[in-house]
Amino acid sequence: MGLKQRLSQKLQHLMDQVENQINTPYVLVHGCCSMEVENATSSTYDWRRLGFASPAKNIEDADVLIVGGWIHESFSEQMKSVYSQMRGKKSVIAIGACALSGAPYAKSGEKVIPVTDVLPVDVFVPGCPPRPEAILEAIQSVKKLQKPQKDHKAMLYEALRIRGN
Amino acid sequence: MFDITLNGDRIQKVKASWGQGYRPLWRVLENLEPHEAVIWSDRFSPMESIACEWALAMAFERPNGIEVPLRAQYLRSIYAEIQRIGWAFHTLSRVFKSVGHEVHYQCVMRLREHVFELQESLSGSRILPQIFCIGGVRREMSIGEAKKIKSFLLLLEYEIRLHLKRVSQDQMLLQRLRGLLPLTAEQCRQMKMGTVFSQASGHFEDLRHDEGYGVYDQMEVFYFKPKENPDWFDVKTQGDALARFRSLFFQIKQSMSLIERWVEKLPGGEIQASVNQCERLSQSVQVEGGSGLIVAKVTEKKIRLESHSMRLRPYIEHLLNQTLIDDMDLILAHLGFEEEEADLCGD
Repeated sequence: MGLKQRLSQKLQHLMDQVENQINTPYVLVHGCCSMEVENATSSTYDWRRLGFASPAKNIEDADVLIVGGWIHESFSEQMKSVYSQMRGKKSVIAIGACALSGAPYAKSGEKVIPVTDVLPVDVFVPGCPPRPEAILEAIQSVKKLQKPQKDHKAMLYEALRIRGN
Repeated sequence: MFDITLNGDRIQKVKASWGQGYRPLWRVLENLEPHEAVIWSDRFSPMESIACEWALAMAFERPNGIEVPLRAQYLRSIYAEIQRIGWAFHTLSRVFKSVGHEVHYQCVMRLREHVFELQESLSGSRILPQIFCIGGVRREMSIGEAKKIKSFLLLLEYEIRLHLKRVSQDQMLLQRLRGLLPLTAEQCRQMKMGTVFSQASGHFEDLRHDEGYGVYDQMEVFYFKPKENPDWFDVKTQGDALARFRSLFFQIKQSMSLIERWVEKLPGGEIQASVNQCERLSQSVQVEGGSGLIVAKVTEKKIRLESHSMRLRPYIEHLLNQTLIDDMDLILAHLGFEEEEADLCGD
């Protein structure tokens, strides 16, 4: 294998690694929070620099679901179906007081439910609505969660085993 | 959700299945005291939250005979016009996004961010200012804040000049908007569409001008002529998307001109009237929001808020018929209509 081929293979490998680290979110946000999510995507805050792509148009392309705004009980089935269609290692970010707890509509007598009743949420972003900086912090938390964790115990046993030999 | 039947690339028939008509916010408002209800009402329409607060505050003030001090009237009008500028940028961003013009979209989003920042420094909140109370406003404006508004206007003047230069030379964008969804003055009147729409259709209806609430009594301001780019601001009356697009810029300049005058003339005095008792008496009040009328209806047991997009629902199917499928997003964006209303909250 020539140097040129090996270099191109290495580059391809690096490109694949970078692409694997980019998350594609699907935004399911309405109401006041949608303004701040839109701000987080725009050039002022720009979540792309943190490894988040532009919001996906198809659910199948997304691996992160961003949920915000009040959720009616009748909408829960649709949300589950959206979640089931996502690819790879899925993460859910819940944004704003309405999605987190149903507040301020929780006690209204309407069937408004928190998102935790429907989906497993990884990161919560409180606020009414939260600032774009808080959304960027949530993105970083998702990145940390998705990063493969080092098993320190196994590493220690491996080191001891090598030393014992 | 839209159920669309196509004939080629033209929409033959469209059926929209709307989310639930009843808003949970209405139920919340029913159980609150009047002064609390005013603060909560801004969640009804985030980009027109001040108009919502104003409409509900007036619906309590008028029947109870509460007179708002002059300084508070000035402050209310200033806050409302600042948010009006924010709404115009918001609508412009929707238009650019639906056309797919990323550069213009990002420019307008940056301008909208300036408005949010100003709102935060004036009221403490970027989107939901919660600044009104029955009988006045909840927060005083300091000399420093007035200076901030002035420097914001200077910055905006410069930014808009740059932006207009780019937009007015973009022939592809203008060509796309030309002739799209023409609305007649009569249609605007039927659908109770607001200033941007009525102005673009040649029938200038403005509740601020007609009703004269707040300090909108400076009539000549509504007929001002911007010194720069006079041709651009000479809004034509075809009623199409291009006329509405121009009208949006006109509205921004008009609001800037109004704010500038009011900050200069801001009188001293109280910012709240003393309110002994405020009862829920039947009243219906209309206030001009960015997109159109915000209507607050108060009875002994109910509080209802109505916005432009709610009233537009019966007409959307009719308006989308026989248009190109590619123009659908652009038409909805131009009407200030949030597509999410049809997508979410189904019942």
